[in-house]
Amino acid sequence: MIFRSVEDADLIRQAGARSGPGAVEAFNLLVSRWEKPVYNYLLRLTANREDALDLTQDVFLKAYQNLRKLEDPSRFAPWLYRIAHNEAYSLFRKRRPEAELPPDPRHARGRESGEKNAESPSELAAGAGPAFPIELTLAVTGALNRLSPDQREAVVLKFYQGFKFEEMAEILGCPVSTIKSRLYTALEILQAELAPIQSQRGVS
Amino acid sequence: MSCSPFDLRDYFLKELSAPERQQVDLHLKTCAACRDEVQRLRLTEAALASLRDEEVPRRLAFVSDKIFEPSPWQRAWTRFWNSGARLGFASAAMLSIALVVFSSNRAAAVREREAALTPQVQHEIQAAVDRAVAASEARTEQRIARLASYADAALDYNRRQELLLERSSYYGGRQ
Repeated sequence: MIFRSVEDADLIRQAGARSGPGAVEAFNLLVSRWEKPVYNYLLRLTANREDALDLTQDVFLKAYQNLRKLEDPSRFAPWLYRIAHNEAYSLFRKRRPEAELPPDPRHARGRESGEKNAESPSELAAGAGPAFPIELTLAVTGALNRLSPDQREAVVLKFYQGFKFEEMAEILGCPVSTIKSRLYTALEILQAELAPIQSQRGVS
Repeated sequence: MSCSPFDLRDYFLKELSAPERQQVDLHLKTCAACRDEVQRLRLTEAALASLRDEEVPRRLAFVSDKIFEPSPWQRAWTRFWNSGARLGFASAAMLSIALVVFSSNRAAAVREREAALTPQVQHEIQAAVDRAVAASEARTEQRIARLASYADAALDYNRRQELLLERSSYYGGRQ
């Protein structure tokens, strides 16, 4: 993880140094490294693959255009996710100017988890990575949908994207205390939602 | 909720400093309730991990792709240049351009040669015309001279005939 972040910093210096084939190569490498996590972050925020994909594209375009404004290359990841967060929320505002909140993803999520179910058996058969039973995946999807958009985003950034509180504060533009309270409230809800399933299945 | 010296959630999420962490580690060895709490957090984390990341469904446009290009013209050019099929078309287009350029060059060269030749030709024509005129004039003068000499000769003859007639009439009259 450390050597990776150093490498990223090198790439950013190279990409931001001057326009040229070297800079383009460096940025292409950054895109290939970060597109999957950024896409998945946006997918969990928007619960819509098309939106997530369009937003991911916009995020990297914006990042490329503003790379020189990034003062500290070691802060690339939070900086990139801040762009992603802002892009997602500006889309939400455009869609629902009165609410200023992400749409309730319950409906879309339901459709998505349906697709996931279809994928799960083949994953099991192929033995690609640890496979999870359908009911647990469904329960987690349902539990995440019970969270408020802010809480869900905190969970996504912490558990799925592995950011530190301090980095999350940077991405979301609010104090660490706010983030902690959002995350820990979310954890309580998730634990309450998931406990029955887990005890039923005897996960330990 | 907990008798741990620091928040177990912070501990679990690795947000504690090394010394704080050590204190919690020590506490966990003696406190079953806190161990259970950490175990619950672990289960929740494992449950969350059941949602796997998805692959990006489509290839994103990279910097070298069209959307990063500064102008639509350059965009079109890059796309055009990067496509193998259109590269063939490009070579055909270049060939036709080369043909047009070459042929126009040739036409220009011919025109140039014509332009270079024309004064000489005109000069030659002028000279030929001059020569022809001069020859014709000379011939005409010769003819005039000849006609004049004929006329002179004819006049001479006539005069001589008249003289002969006069003389004969003179001699005839006297007889």
